[in-house]
Amino acid sequence: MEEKIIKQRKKRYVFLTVLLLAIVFITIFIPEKQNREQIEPEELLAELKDETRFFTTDEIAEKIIMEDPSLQLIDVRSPEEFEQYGLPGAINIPIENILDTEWTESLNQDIKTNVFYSNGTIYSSQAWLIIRRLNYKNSYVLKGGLNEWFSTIIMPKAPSSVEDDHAMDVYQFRKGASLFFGGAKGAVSDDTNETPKQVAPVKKKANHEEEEGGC
Amino acid sequence: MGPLIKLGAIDAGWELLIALLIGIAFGFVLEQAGFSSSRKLVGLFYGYDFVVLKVFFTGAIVAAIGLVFFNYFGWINLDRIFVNPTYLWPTLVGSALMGLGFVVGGFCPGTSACAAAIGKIDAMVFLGGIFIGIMIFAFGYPLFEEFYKSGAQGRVLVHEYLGISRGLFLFILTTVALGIFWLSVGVQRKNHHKNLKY
Amino acid sequence: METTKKKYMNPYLAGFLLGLVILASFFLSGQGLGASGAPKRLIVAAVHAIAPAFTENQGFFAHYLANGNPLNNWLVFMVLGIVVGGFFSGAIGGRLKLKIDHSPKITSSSRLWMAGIGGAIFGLGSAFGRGCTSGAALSAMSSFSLSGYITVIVIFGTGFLVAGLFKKFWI
Repeated sequence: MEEKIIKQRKKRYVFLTVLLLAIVFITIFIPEKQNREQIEPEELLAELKDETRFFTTDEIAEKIIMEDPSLQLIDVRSPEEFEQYGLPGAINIPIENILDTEWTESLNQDIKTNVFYSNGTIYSSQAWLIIRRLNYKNSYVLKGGLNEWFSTIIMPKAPSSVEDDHAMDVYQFRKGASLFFGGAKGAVSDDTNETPKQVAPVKKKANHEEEEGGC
Repeated sequence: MGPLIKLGAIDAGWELLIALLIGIAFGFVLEQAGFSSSRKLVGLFYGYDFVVLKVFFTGAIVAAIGLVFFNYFGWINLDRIFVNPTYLWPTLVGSALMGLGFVVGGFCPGTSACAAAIGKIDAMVFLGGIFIGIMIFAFGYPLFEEFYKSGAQGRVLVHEYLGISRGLFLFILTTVALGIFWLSVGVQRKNHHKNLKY
Repeated sequence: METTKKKYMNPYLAGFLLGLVILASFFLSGQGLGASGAPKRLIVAAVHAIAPAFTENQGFFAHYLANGNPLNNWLVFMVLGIVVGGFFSGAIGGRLKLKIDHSPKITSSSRLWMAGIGGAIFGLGSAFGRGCTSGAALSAMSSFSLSGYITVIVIFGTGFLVAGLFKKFWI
């Protein structure tokens, strides 16, 4: 009698084993869904309002000077404009070509810090929005664009008050940077032995991944 | 599409109530499975009771299969769920301590809470011990901080780490688990002739 | 032998239900189960109430205080639920009874000492491991986290390695 029950039970377990294996076997053929292409509109809006996508011109100048290998500048203006003037090391991806597969590899990656720029911030922000919509990571925007770049890095203005140490530091850095980028000579003539000031180490953008363990 | 709270389909205010309900279901299943008995739990390590192994792996596999199918049907976005980040060294040390604590104390935090609820005094003492252990960590944190944050690798998925597809990994995992289940029957039979259970 | 007296659920059925609970948890909130987070947060809240100046400057406490009340948390409520659910199940199964489980070879008090020491070791381990068996191992395994698989292998591996040393306390 007992033998019989055990046998029956065994049969049931063999059946369950086979069933489970069959189900799991199916999962092998389930294509990995590319959810990466989706980001919820609410989240996108929140990110848009959030300022963390911006790098200031000072931060970028510093990265270029320090030859930060993770920096990838992306010029989204037309090739003609890019030809005329572009930031050192930048690549040119005109905004109308941003979805071309040729660029997917450069844009969808998690090693480099992609920083978009245009003359202002309209085109670069549009590029950023499209890239974030695709949920590609590490995309940022140069705050103020090239206009800001010129007014802060290439031709920096001395702060009105010399008392403010921080403003002075920034100015000194910009003057050095200006020299580095071959900017207006006049701006640096008053003391030429000034070297680019090595300000605080590269600021890391916070990753919004949850920290806390599940348990 | 899930996760419902994260994607705003359910108001975040409901989160704690949902946590409570899920906790109730969790505690209920743990107790029903016999996890409120420490001797049953450690039976695994002495080869006389494999219920922990069975419940644990069946649960993990069922949930993993469910997640894969939910993802396929578009009901959940797997990129949006919490994946415990990998910190290699602290995880190795922490897990080794947990293994030791498990054999010495006979519970883990979840099962001790559930066992304490039905009046197991040893479970209540174990819970007290957990508080002491965490307090040691909390107050010693300045000492541990550097180590605690070492080996950070972020959100690493196991199948990506192994370079295989999610489905293939799941298949291998399930096959291994089923193999262990069938083997455990043999071991248990050897250790306990009369009490044969699958 | 003991196991035959009380009717526990079939382990595979229990495992299946457990899997559904984890799945529901992920579907609803995007996170899995957990238990050790609750004592962590209780400690933070208690110490904060006693010495707020200390907690705000110490990394561990400050981290858990960063988002408001540390007790207003998913994991804290989950553990409350575990207690309620466990009690409910014990009531159904007629297992509600104040008692100490221990091997006939050891006394109750040595069992309690072992439980306390084991709990402390486990608590310390769960702090280093960023979670315990339910969060860092079980739920992490279902979400395909590499960390979860490392955790489960090391917990059970260590368990088997040291089991021989503590045999007399259990069998």
